[in-house]
Amino acid sequence: MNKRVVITGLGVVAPNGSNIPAFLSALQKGESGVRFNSEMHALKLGCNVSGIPHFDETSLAAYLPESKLKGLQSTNIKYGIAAALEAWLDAGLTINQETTDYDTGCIIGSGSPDITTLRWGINLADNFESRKLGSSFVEQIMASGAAAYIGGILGLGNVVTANSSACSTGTESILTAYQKIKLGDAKRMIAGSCDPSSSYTWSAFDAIRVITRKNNDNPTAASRPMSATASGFVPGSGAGVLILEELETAIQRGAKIYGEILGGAVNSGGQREGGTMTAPNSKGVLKCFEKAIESSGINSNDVDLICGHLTSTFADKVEIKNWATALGRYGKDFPHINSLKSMTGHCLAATGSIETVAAVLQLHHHFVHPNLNCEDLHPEIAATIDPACIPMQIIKKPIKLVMKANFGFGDVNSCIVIAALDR
Amino acid sequence: MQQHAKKCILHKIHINMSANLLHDFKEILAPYVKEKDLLNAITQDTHLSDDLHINSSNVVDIVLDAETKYDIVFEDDDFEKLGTVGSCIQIVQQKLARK
Repeated sequence: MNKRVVITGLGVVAPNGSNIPAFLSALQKGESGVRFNSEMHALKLGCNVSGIPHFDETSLAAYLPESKLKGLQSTNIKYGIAAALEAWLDAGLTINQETTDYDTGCIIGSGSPDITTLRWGINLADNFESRKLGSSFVEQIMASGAAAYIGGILGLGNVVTANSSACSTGTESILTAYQKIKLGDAKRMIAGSCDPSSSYTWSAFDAIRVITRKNNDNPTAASRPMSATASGFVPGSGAGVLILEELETAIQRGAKIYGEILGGAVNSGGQREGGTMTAPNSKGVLKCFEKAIESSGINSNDVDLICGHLTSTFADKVEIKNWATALGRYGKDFPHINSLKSMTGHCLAATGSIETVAAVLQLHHHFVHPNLNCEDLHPEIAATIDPACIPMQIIKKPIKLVMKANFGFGDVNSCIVIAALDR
Repeated sequence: MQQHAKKCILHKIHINMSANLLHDFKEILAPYVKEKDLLNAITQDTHLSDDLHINSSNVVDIVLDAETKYDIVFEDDDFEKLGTVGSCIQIVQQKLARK
């Protein structure tokens, strides 16, 4: 079976926009959601800035009974539910309280449970008070927590699971869901990821000195992908969710179609040939790009936009070189490229899905969002591709073909190819 | 005569307390009862799962809420006795009396 797979709904909770309309507006205006973080400051971390969404706590009351809301403290699950419900309703779907929908499943990844919630539980246990954990602790710390909550709210009856591959989680989730529909195992999939707002998670990145310590007094300037003065990424959190459907079903029910997933690839560099736990093996990255291009059946000259991983670290210049090599396009010939991270920071496991939502919005609304904080472009990047390919203001133009990639700790790579349906 | 009067007063206090506790328990149970109208007819004999359809996993939450409200502690044995609203109230009363 070889079904065509389209995107029919979008949902997001991002540092610069807690729903699609706000997020879209922020993308178009180039608005940053990076702010000073007093908790990180109190913990005496080197980095004191982060991207945390403004989340409306009351928004979940429409979907969860009071008994569930009472104990729900995990931020990643809250973000995941909100984004999934926004996407579901955006797709014009309704919630059936009576029956199970065996044709629809979900894959909602997360990097880890909310460590702040874990800490609450551990403190109780160490105090011999573990009986106070209540009935909702297990479901919040299990890795599939977000997926399980969403599956229950929507009555999903196909696969309900989580994936996890560090910063590649979001894009990998979407590709795994795409494959399920392509093979005919499901008609519809809710795909995406979430990551918690926890200073404890971020302290781990602070300890290995990969998050920036240089802009605590100027938060919106801290996330600087492709800049010569990039000094580490800004940690962030949130959730991104897409509704994927087989084309026939979408057309049959008159669904709005944002675009089509043509193909993609997921692989690893094996932590060999220059790759380590934290740095990519470029050969592996190139193989991933090549496989994505091949599986989509596209011509690399037709790519209009690349939504990069580009984290605001030394790896950015390597990534640009890999893109140019894989596409065989250099200098002025290179497509437009941007990094959402300049506005949101790096949302870790949620980053791939939030960024794919941004990619789809640009495809659908015909624009390329600006890159913030790269006026001082890294010279090696300027030597590979023309600076005009890296817009610092919004560009309005038809986008028919987008490539999106993410790379994660573990030397893991994912790349997805999305096209306008009328391409 | 004084003993009898004392007994009457204590009995009255006990009934008032029961009535208050019944009212309190309505509030404690409310978040865990999906069909809210079931709470209106609540009596001592109302069964938590059979009548109010409370999820068995929420019993621990109800106990925690009651413990916080009355500053008491439920023991392992007590958990086995929690069938009806009346049985919950009885346990709370016993613990309050011992304070």
